[in-house]
Amino acid sequence: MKLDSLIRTAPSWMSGDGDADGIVISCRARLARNLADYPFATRITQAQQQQVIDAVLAAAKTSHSMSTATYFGMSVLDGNERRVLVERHLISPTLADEKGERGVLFNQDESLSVMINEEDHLRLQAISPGTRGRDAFAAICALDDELLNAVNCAHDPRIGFLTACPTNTGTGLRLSVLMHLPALVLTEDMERVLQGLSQLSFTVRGVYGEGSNAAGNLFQISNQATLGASEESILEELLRITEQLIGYERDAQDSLTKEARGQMEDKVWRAYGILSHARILTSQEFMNLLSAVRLGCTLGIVRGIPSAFLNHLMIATQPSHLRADAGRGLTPAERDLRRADLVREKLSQVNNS
Amino acid sequence: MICNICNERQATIEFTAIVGDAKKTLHLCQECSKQQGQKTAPAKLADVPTENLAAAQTAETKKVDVVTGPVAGAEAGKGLCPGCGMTYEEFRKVGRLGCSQCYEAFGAPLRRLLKRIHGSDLHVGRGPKAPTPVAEHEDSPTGGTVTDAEDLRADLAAAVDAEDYERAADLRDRIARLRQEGS
Ligand SMILES: [Zn+2]
Ligand SMILES: [Zn+2]
Repeated sequence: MKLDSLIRTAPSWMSGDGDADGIVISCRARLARNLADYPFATRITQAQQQQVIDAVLAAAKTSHSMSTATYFGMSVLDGNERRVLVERHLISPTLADEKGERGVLFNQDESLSVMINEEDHLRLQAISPGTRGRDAFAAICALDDELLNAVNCAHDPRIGFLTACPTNTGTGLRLSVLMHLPALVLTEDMERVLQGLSQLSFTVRGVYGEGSNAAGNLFQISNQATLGASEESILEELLRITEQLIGYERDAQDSLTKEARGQMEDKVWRAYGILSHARILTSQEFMNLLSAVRLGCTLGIVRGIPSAFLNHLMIATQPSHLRADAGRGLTPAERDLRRADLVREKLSQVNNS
Repeated sequence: MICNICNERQATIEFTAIVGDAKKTLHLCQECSKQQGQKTAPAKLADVPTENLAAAQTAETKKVDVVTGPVAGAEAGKGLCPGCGMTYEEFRKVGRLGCSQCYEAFGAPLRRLLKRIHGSDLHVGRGPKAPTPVAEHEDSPTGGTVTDAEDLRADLAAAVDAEDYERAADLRDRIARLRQEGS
């Protein structure tokens, strides 16, 4: 398989650097861009799509940040390989599934990527670990400048960058932060927090599962509007909100440990026990147990398990990663067995190191 | 009646939106109606993952319709993009524009839609670098186009002329902000 080396490594944004004791997994910046001389996705021909790819790849070659990047056309990858890229946040499900000439360019540590011929001709993405949203933002601006220098970009001085969907017009910027907020969910304060955020025109989505019942207690907070506010002000607002949420989460953790230290420890160690010994783990159960262990690490109940380890486990146990690792198709039942095997094996390694 | 948005709670409120010539009625629970209120309605469209918007005709129709909101039927039929041949009607069906010229072709209704989605229809922020760099722009920290107060004042005058006071207020804020940043 072409992605062999990929599935055994972790992307750099999972390093756990600056992650506020496991509360903030990563920050992501995305820019939507289109070439002025080609129709958008709904109107473009396959031949034109190829020309867009050629133009972007040529521009990328001359760029500082993407000159050594790898390009994968979707047509050279099989279905599972594409899903692997989706699970690694390198491409969207749309890019994986739609027809036509499409592809993705990404650098070695997977911190920067460019989807070509997704909903927009270009979707630039930068991801950085923990709270380092400024790094992701700086990286994406640098790449944007380099690419825009080399192509004729669809832009209007009054309404900014022109995108296929009007929800992205203007800056074309979607900034998001991925947070682990288990205590806010446990204390049932999450609803209140969600309501407050929607008034600030930021969206919160459960990353796995829906709304405030997100599996794994992972939430993605991102800006809604892309028109009328500068990129910097969106970034500062998101970072401010992130700090606030870290504070709320820590307060909720404090009150939980104050009122129910015993129950908290029990919950964490039970989760750890199941992960270390179970023979069958569904993805939902795994995500919830992993969340409890991560909370245990944040609270210092469990020691010696770095965030990077938990983050990588989260990706390695996804269905297409398991299937790629097995080298063959797996039934859901087989997958749950293999997931449990993998988790046991990895946990025993981290314990012995 | 069950709520059309969450398909879970009991619907207690009826919400009507005029879409083109058709009147659509939504039955909403208290919770969802709060979110569909004028102020947060734009949020809902952004909320729909962009992947799904293409399939707006199926499950997400209701959300998109509410946002697209009252567009007079006659006005909606006018725009035809010279670049790609898309009509405004067609755009509203697929939720995606056909090319960069559509923005110009669909004019006022599209700008109103942008305003409803974002709360503004004027870009602030980065732009493509000028092909031949102008000396004074070189120092700009973002490497982007800096909208200057002069342009904004002209826009403001135009907005006041057009009695578009909401936009005028926006512009006033931006001019004030520019002044604060003190170039
Ligand atoms: Zn409802
Ligand atoms: Zn067009």
